[in-house]
Amino acid sequence: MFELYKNEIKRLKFWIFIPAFIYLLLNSSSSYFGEYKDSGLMIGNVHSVLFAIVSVLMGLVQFHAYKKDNRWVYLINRPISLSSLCLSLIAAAATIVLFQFVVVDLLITLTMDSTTHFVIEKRHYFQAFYVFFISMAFYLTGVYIQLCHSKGAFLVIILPIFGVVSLLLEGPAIIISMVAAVWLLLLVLSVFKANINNNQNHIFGKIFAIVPYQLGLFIILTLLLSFLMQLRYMLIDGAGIDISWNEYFANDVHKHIEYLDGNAQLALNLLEADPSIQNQYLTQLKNVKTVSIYPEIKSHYTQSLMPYQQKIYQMNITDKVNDEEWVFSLDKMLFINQKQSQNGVKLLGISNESGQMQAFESVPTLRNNFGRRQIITKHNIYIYDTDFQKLNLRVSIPKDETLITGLHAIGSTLGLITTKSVYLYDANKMQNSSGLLVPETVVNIPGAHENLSQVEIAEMMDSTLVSFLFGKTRSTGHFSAKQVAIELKADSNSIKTLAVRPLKQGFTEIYYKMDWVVSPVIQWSYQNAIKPMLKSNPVNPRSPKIPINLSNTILSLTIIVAIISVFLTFWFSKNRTKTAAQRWSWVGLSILTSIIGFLTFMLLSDKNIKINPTKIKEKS
Amino acid sequence: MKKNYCNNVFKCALLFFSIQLAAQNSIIETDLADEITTHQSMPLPQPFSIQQAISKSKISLVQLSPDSKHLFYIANETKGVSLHLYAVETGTSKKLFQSKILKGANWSIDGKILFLQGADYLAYINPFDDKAKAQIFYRFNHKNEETFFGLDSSQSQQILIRRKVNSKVDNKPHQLVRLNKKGEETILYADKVKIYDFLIDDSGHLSFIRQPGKHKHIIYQLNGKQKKPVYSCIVIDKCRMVKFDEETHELYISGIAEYKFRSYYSVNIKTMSTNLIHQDPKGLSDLSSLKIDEATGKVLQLYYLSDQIYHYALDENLNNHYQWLESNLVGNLYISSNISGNNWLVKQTHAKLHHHKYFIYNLNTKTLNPILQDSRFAGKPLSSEQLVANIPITYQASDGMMLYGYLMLPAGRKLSDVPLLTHVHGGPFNRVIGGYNPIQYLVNQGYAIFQPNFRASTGYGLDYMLAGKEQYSTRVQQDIIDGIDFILEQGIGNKSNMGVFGHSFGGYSVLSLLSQYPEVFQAGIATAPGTNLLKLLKTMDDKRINEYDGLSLKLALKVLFADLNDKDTIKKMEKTSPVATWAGITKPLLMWGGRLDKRIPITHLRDFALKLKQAGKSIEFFEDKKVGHNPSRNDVKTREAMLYMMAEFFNRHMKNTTTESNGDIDTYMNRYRVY
Repeated sequence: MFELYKNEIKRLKFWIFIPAFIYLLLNSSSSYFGEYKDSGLMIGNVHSVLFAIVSVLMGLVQFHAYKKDNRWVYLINRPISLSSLCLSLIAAAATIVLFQFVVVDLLITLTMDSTTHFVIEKRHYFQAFYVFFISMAFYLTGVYIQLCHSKGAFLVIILPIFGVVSLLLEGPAIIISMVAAVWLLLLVLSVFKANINNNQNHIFGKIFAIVPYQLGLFIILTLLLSFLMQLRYMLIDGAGIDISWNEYFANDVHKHIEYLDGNAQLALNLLEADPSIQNQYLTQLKNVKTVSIYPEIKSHYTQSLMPYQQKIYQMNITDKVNDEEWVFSLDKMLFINQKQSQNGVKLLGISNESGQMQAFESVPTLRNNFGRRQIITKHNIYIYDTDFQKLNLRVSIPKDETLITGLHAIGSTLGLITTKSVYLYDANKMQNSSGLLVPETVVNIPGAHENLSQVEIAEMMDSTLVSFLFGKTRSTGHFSAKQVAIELKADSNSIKTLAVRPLKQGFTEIYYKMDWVVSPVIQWSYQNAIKPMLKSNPVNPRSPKIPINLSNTILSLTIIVAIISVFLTFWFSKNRTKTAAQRWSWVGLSILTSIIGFLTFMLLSDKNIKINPTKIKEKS
Repeated sequence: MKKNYCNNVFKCALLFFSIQLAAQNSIIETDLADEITTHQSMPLPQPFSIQQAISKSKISLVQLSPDSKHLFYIANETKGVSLHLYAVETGTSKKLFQSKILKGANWSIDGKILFLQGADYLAYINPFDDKAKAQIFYRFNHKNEETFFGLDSSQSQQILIRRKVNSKVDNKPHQLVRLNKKGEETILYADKVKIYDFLIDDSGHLSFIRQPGKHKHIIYQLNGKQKKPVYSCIVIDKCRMVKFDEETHELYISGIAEYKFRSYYSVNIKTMSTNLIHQDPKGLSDLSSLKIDEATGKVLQLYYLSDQIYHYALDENLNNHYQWLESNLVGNLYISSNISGNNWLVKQTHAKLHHHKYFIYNLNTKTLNPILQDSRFAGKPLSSEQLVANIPITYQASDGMMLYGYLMLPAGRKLSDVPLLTHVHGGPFNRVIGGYNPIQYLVNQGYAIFQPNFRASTGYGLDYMLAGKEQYSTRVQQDIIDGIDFILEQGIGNKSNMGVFGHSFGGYSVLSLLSQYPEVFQAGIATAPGTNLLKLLKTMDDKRINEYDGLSLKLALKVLFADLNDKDTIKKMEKTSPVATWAGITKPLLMWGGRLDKRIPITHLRDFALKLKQAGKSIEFFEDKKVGHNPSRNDVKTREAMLYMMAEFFNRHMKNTTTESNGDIDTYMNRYRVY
């Protein structure tokens, strides 16, 4: 077994050098362009593509060699079990992956840690696990494609892709990629058979394959259908070709509104207001400039955040006045002076009630607005004070809501959005004091914060107009799209809703609900189990969701598609299954997952091929 | 064209000349004996805080309607400002709205609407319609440097804006534009060069403009697209066109021309002969402002500021009203006179009046009716008993020239023992006008404060202003010392306990005085001071700061300051500049500078302070990182901190006492103290 492992490493040794060199080159170039370990999502993305290409190829190439003529027979006739054989080959590839990427990554991290003033932490070292597992998952995908007889074997690539998606969504990418690798290992073991031509998969192999097949098929099919529907609009109306998508839609469609200037958005919003309000504001709005605030904090970083998941400069405070660079340490939950080697170690945290410095409770988000570096936690905003080199607490909101933006300048006002409200502060007080700001006005958000696309604020001569545009998550069906205009009077602090304007979806209902038609169970599972699992900590509290309302047309279509799928599964299963139990299992899957179940059945149950034992004997 | 109402111009001029001659001969030094007795016999005033001294008036702007039946006023609120309409007859007012962006307002020429200005917008409101709301009709394009340029007097409801278009199409970027309340614009004029003054004729056409020439301000007459130069004013004379009489070809101007004082005169654009119409009858001061009736072109008011504001008219009847008002109200009066209504608005200001007072003066009954008193009291002004008068003084300089200034004496104290502070004004082409100043806080603490209008100060005629030329570190400083000697001789102030403070040129003066007269002062405070005037002015000229309506500072400096090409003069000036004489400073000095100061680079201050520090002098230096040459109007915290800084420093060095502070002030002092 060890011999096989050694020989396999020797055979694959060239797979170490070239990828390792490319990986080193990519790291050097990102280092050259200013950042290495904190260079963020883009670099993580590029590196993941490299891992995917190299590893899938390695898996394909490694096992392709054994499929030639007698090599397979020579391989499996060794005096060890099939699974030991398989694991030896995979272990050899894992060693190659270690040297290709993991060791290089660790060496670079170690060098940075010991020779530079970059703040290198545990999470920088832990990133090596992601590099290893994601590469292994892609490698095993290549192996599976090579060994599995199913035409849909490539669909298992969805598992490592979930790992990369999780990386991009700042989610638990290490765990996801590890699960993907283990899952694929089991799949590979299930197709590693003595008779390489045997297309009959082990029952467990089929069970393990069903999930990635179904998810892969679901995603491909829904993407394809939505593209075809868009293609129809493009070919017939020239939408997206001769005319941009937002202009193609009427002015009561969310997609049209979101691309308009703020004052045009407000003017459309006020079309639903009383005529007196329209008279008062519509002419003025042509001359008014609004300020847009977009919900910018969708999730919160955790302490296990990988450098690959971090956006450039997001965790830094650059103090040009004192020539200091503060970097947030997720180990210490404090800012560390990056130039500590010159000036001695300095830490920067928040002050407790007695004025002593303490660590942050959670990882903050940093934003730059109106020339101020803002350190945003769930409930507080701190502004860095260059004079005293400390963080001044400037905004504090109640604990039952969470900040989803930093402070933005709106003329004489500063504004921010939380999960519950819009807060407005006096901008002069920010300039002329260093204490906690007291909000002048608090406006409740008239909808779900998850669905809030943007807020437009216009300071008029005698009032402030606020227009909320909802519909960011309208496609999920849990929230609707609408515009709500609110008037704030400067003197009385009165808040008056001027207009609520419901907005349409744009495309036909089938476009948005086709996922349900394709497979209601998978759609539900994907939205409620898989997607949230891939993401990082969402902003809480969450708004209550409206139950999804499927129209009769969609319901009818869903049922028809499901019945046809069941019928087709039943029909084709006659030639593709050996036992009644198997046959009814596939039918059951089709009942459960509709057309996806049927397609999975077609891909995982090839027509029975009779094995010709004499042919094998002759070859051996 | 508007008609000239001064039919006996020549007679008027002769009369004024004779009055002036008599006035100049009668200037004598002020005898302060009575003031000393009065002040010493007063009770000690109630102390007040720095915050109270700095607090702004509740009412920030009041304007009477053209028919004088209404007025609007803008009141400061916790959140922004509020606009109110006040009915003069009934004495009732209604709030029109509250705003966070309203900066100013004007009645339209027909008095039917109010034009409103914000930093970004122009708007209007019909104040007489109860349901009316403010309507924004124009948004300034700041890229084009658009600014409000006043009402269009030829139109009932239109205004003017000025802009510089960033277009190279016709190479005429500077535009004067008329706007109606729908935001529709008419370009009245476009040119390569910026317009600084203009006249619009009755038909609404631009008839005259003033633009900078090579060395002078040129007045052009416009005829269609043609412009013809008809008159010019010297670089330091930003002459203002008042009206034009088409029949007589007389162009009426407020400016210097060939006179010793800024005056009201006419020039015949055919013969180029000038004709003096009005000058200060006291022969002391320049014409400060002139008001005409937009409908008739009649000159309603000319006012001059010598020791206080004096109003005149070319019409005897109006003159009587002004005299009546001046005899019935003390202090400086700002009178909104008109001939179309029966009421005038009068704003009263003086040192003992913390926040202004407003009155309606009825011309028929000759009665004064105080208005907006509740609003004034809502601003919590200091009482008159807590404040002292700013006594105008005249003294003779050591070279014989008569000089002016103001003096504030603490009440209820033996004046020969009180510490004497000298507050030097900035500029130097500026002056003290003697109204309320937050430095009354120091007077309340027991300091006497002398504010000299040394030679080079403005408002007292051309000769007075130019008398300091080439002698800013020498003769001008001697004027201040002469003023201090005069006050000491009168028995005011403790000779061994004197201090000096000033901002900008005032700060420069502090550095000069401390280095040249170290034995005179115990301590000095120089805020945003120039340390090397020559270098500073060259820098300002390079940066095109303080231009004279488009003419370079360098041209003006040749007249006002010195010929910068004359090496001998420059050498002499350099020798006496604080940057050369700094070693003479032996007394404690506090310097304050704003890092964002575009006029006086902070590096000049840093270098100067460091030099003193390294030489072991007693120097304290504050560098405010967010402020320019002056703190902004709304920056109350900085103003409070600066006043505290002065009080604390002088109390420590002159009275050996401590000064009460608060958290914000302490934070400021810690934040910006360099050493």
